Amino acid sequence: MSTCEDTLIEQAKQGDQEAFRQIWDEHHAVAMAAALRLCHQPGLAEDITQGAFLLAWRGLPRFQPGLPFRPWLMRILYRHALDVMERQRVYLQPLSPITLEAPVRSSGLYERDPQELIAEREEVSRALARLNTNQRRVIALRYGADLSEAEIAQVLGWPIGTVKSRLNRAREHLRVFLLDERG
Amino acid sequence: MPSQDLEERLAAYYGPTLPPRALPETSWLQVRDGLEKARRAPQRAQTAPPVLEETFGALLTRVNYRYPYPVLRCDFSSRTTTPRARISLLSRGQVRLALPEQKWRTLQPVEIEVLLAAGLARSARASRPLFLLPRALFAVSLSLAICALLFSATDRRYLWIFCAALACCLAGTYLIFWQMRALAFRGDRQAVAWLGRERVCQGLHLLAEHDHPQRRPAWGEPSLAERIKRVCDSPVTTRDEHLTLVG
Repeated sequence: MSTCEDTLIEQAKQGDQEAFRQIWDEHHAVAMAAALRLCHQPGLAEDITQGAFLLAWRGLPRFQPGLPFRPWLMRILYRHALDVMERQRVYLQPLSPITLEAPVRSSGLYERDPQELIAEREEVSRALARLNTNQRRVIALRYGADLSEAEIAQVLGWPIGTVKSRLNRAREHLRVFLLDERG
Repeated sequence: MPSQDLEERLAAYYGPTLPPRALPETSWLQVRDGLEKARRAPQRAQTAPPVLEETFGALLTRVNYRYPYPVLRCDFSSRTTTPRARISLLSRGQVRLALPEQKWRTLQPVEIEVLLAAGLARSARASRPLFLLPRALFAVSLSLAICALLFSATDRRYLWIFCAALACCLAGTYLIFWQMRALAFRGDRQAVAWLGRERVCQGLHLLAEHDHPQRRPAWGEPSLAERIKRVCDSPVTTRDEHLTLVG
């Protein structure tokens, strides 16, 4: 972490909003992209990003100086995103073609038929909706945030053994649910 | 389904890492409004684990709780089996949770949210003057009873005052007991307004799983079965979202 950011965080801790504005400028775009990848809805992703920054502001006195800021912020963002997504039951909401295509378009890696891709993603979404909350959380962090099991344990405050078992159980269930979806 | 296929489908569902997406200036302005509100709130000392603090902070923001914010305090005990919200009489402006020393880490997010929401709602109501009246009655009548008992050694007439004060004490105790229960039920109603009935029901059911059926609830605290009966319109099982795998 740069000395400059150290200084900004210290100033923000003292209540300096201009310093926090600079922290926002530095990190919000990455946070927004991460939130969008998790929830697929631009409006909701923006709310999540704003909420995460507000939580970070309130949590600044607990931030340990010298540690990198972004991983700390991202842990707050992921926790907040998962809470918001569960509360709003994002997995049960039909995804509009725009939100479904957003990550695909931006990646440029997919050259498959968009309709087929959308149908497949809707199947996954329905299967995810059938998992329990904790299994959905662990899947979202593993595949939607590319976190390792140790990092997931850190974000969710669970023992690593619990993360592993829930991840395995979630995968088993998802396999069955996806087979069900295909009839 | 082969495991590779599942991995690919999940990877396709979430897509690759997205490039940074800058938000408009209005987005920062909304955050700044939030900062202004937070700035007016006094800094809270950390008296609870960070995970609970963050959930509590998120709840306060979500329900747009009025300032000043109450302090979250957790009492960990190996004797506590069922997590519950407590009322702090001496230190107002506190939300207190009684949590099992080790097992609190196994609490699910929905349980924590329900505990915190119920505790917050109780704390808000407990600071009202009407809540303090039975306690004042109890304290005054108890003091009077003690004094009357002491003076009754010299003058028998004080025995009547002692009896009257004792009756007031008992009445005060009953009122406090009744009020504590009413407060718990009102807290649950408020939690329903904040979190939604389904979520509160789910949280209460999960909390009830920690409950030992033969253990009596704390004094003045309704049992989880009573609370579930009042809150949930229809039976909700804890495994509501869990589907049984067949075959």
